[in-house]
Amino acid sequence: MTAINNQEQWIEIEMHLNNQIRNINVLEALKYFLDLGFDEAELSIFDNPELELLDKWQAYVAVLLSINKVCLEEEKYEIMILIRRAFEKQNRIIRRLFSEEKTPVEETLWELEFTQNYFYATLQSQVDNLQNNNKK
Amino acid sequence: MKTPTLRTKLADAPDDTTREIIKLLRKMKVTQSQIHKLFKDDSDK
Repeated sequence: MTAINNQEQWIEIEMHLNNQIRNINVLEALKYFLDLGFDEAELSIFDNPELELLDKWQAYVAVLLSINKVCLEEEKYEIMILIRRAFEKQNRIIRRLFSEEKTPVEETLWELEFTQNYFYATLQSQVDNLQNNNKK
Repeated sequence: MKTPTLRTKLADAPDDTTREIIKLLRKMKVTQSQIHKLFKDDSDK
């Protein structure tokens, strides 16, 4: 994973993602994340309307935008790692669908939704905590 | 130090463990919306 370790990089990310959200251009945002070190296979799972994951992808981006305003570099990095792990876990679930094991589609979709639920809830909780700490 | 929540435990769990939990939940006919609520209510301890 590309380390995000200076303020300029975060400002650049925020500006870029803000533009992408404004334009609702998810593909451009995906390309930008490729530049951050995610690989194409990992990101492609969020670019598949059949799996109805686009809205969840946008939610991840929204989390990224909101954390940028409130937390320290180390905290941002922790959250980026969590996002990265969510991508990786979901990618492994997708890959099993096409592996020798051939996990049934229905089971795969259930597992994906379940995984999204707890990762996104964890992300949102972390962001809420950071915002609350920031107010104190 | 915070006690890990159910969500964070799941995020750290190996894939096989998660799959076993999922199989159990499906057998129990738990819906995704119930799961969503469970995770949402699982506030940091």
